[in-house]
Amino acid sequence: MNKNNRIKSLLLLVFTIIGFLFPVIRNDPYTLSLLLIIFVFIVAAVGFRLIYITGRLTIGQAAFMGVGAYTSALLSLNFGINPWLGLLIGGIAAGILALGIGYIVLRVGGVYFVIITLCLAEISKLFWLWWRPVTYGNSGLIDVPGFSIASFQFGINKIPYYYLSLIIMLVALFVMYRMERSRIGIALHALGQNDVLAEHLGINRTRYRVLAFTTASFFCGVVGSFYAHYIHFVHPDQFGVMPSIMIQIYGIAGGIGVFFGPIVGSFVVAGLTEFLKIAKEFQPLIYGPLLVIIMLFLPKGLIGLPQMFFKSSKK
Amino acid sequence: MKKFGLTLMVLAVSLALMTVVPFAMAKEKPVKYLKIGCNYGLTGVVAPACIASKRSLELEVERINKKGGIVVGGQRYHIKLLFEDNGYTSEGSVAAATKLIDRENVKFIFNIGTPGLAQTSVTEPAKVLSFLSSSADQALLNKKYSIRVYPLVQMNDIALLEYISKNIPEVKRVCLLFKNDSSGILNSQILPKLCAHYGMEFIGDELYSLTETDFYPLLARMLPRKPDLIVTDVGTGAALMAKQAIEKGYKGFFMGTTLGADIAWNKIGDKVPDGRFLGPVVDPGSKAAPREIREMTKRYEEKYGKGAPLDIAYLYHNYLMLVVQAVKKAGTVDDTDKIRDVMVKNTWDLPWGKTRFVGKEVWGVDGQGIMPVFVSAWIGSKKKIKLLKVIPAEDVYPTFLKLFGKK
Amino acid sequence: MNAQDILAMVINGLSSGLTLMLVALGLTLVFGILHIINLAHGELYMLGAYCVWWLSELMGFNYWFAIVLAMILIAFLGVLMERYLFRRFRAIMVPSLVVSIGLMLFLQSSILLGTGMGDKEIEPVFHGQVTFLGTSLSLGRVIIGAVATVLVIAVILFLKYARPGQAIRAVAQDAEASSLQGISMNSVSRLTMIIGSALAAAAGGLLGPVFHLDYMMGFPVLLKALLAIVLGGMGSVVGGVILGSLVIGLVHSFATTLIGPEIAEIILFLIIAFILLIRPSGFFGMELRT
Repeated sequence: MNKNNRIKSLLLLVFTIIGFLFPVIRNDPYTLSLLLIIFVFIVAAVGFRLIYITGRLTIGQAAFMGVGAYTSALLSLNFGINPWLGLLIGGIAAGILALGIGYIVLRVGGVYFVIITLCLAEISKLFWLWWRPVTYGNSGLIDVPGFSIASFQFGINKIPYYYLSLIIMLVALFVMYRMERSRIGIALHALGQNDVLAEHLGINRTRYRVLAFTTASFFCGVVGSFYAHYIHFVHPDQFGVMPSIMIQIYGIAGGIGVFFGPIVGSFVVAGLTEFLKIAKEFQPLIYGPLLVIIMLFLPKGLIGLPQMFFKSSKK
Repeated sequence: MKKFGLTLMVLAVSLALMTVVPFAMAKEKPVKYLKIGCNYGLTGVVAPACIASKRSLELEVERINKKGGIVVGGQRYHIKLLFEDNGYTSEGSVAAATKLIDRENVKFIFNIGTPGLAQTSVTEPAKVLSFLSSSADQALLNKKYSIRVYPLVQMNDIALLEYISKNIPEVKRVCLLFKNDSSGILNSQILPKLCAHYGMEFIGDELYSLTETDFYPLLARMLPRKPDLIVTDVGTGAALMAKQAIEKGYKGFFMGTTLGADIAWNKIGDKVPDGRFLGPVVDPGSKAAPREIREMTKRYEEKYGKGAPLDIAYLYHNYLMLVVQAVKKAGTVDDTDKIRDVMVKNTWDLPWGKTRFVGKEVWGVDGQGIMPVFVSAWIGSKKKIKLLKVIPAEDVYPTFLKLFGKK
Repeated sequence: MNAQDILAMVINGLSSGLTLMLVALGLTLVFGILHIINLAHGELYMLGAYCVWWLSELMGFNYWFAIVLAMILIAFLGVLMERYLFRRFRAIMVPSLVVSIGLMLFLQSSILLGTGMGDKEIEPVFHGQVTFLGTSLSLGRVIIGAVATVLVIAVILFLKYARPGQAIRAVAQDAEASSLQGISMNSVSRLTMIIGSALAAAAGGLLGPVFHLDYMMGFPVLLKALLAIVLGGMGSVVGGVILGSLVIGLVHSFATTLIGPEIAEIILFLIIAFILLIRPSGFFGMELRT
């Protein structure tokens, strides 16, 4: 077990180093632009999992990305707030909203929670569409300012954005990982397994769930805000039901039982999507069945793949 | 069982790879190419329009290349279209534009739909010409490398209202029922002013969601205010709305202000009395359409059959021909500053008619190409679109400037 | 605002609620037995409409015969989906969501690429309007409402009196106990899928001539149907779904007419979220499951 852990942390270190050195090895703007969006979705997918371990399945995380994106974009467009501050404010806005909503909706469980969060995603999109005097509805917010350090503008250079996205992701992952490994995490897992029992053990059900929900949503807000300042364009469609479902696919296809599952899932599924782009308009014809096949044979997600090989070779 | 499953999965994945890889492996011949990027949503909400546009552009490019391509500055070029799928998302649009610019060194990118606006954040600094299809002001505002030869909602409105005020005097009360896309938003901003200009009364606007199909409740809201003209688009949603309005006892006129599929009107069938639904469209296969468009329609239908949404598809021939003619005239295929200069300073004979560039007074840049507006009416009993009048852009633009010139 | 206007709103709401019912009923049955949210259920509705279009417009069958045939074909597809996909995920929500999304993407795309780009249209069988209590609406809608009502009543009677129907109810109430009674879980879930798919196909075929055919038409309907069954109590009583669909139709109609179309949708979703909070098992839900 101990040895296993050591291998794991070594692997982690190697991947982190590769992550940091990647732009040096291969300075290809296109690959970088793909990777940094994958990082964004990793944060959302890992957050999705953090909520899942407390026994609540959400398909509404894109709504909080939207809150972060719109808050930060509107502040910087209308009041000239620095995007760096916007990252934080976007996260906090999403976090506060999640805190308020969480206290109410997390009491509901099972499939009803799934539908409530689905409603949440749809409401948020409809709201951005409807609040036209401010959000310009379906025309979207264009020319959202990008980041800069002192006089250095990030501009269209992908490398600073890449590093920023990487750092945000690492911080978010670190916080969520530590959280899961701490006493709080034990409580969260206990809630997911049997919340009545957990309550008897003195774990406040709603409070712990709200904690997980708020943490995940805070980071969703941060990456949403990053997204807005990176794309320079915010549009309601990016934060509706479909993007939420994509986040959930990344999480589940990767393997929701393990912390690293959503990370693997984001890389593989996003990579797959990218690869299938060669098929142009025919890609859903391959992508759809591929999702089905993954789930049919790897119900625990892609992270179960090595285990499966391991087992079958042992037999 | 598990092992069998694994084998099956591996098989399936490799099968998928086998179908896909040959596309990727196809090597290009050592010929000089004029590359045009198409940042399209081949999957996602606008897939039909994008796929149709892809197919028709491919046909056209194939024809040009068969004739030997084009000659620019003494060098012969073949045109090569590079299609990138953006899944109709903003991040997809930015990634695709980055790929086209960085890997393929593309200087011209066509884009369909709103997420296309996201690509301008990449194309502007890279000095790549970006050809858009959004009526929103932001698409063009102070963007030097954005080009739009797209029938603007404002211009269509002016042409149609002018026609209506002259020929259908009984229209007095106007309302707007539109989908809540950027054209709808624009319409709700400009219509009150326009109606006042033409001496009509504007009695209210409602924008509905893009997926709406049941319009009875909305009509119950609007029809009691007794409009004689409902302003809407020419899409399928609007066709449904019109049909249901007639069912609800509406007796007035309709005016579609965006381009729409010619077949969208077929949905109304003979529900709307002849000549009551007007719009800025022309049946691309009919004699009323410009010759080039008619021929393209014929070629397209020979290959892919009838029933494709051709409105947007054909619009992009304007862009293709514009690029082809402009690079010829500029004598360069990669100096976009020069090409853009040549583009906006000349008048072009494009498939949809004579086009010149304007817009400095409105958007700060002159990247807006204006073209004639076809005023047509739907004749339901014959399932035909009848061309009423072609209004030259020069007749519409002064009014446009007068009303919306200062931004 | 007079009584006439209110009546008009009620009629508009009922007419859209009735059509929603067919999709929602199938969805709730499938949920009640398999305990999965089939996000591809909207696609069965879409396929039903395209199937009717194919049979009646291209093959020249009679419209009603085409609907019956489409119901059979789509039910067969439903059986295949149940047999090879959903059965394995019975009561496992997480992977089934991804599977149904995969199915959804595949079905949408194959319809888009397989039938040509343009929207399709089924020639309406009924023309003209009827005026009902001072509100005019198309004859087609009245007929649809009637047929939908008949179908729903048939399903209710089937569930109540036919033995297989009783088996479905038994499994929905307590799967374990009913399998101890010798009810085959697999045949029940197959039967459920047959009914669910056939109802969705019927809805598609009926609504085809009234609305239009579009490869994306399934998802918005699915969303509304989800709301309806949540209102009625997921997977619970059939009566709940009927009421749920009608309430959705009425709320949408009233809110659109009185306040406006965009706000109406927000209100609709807010109301559902609110109802779920005060009555977590749905407004009309009889059982409470946490």
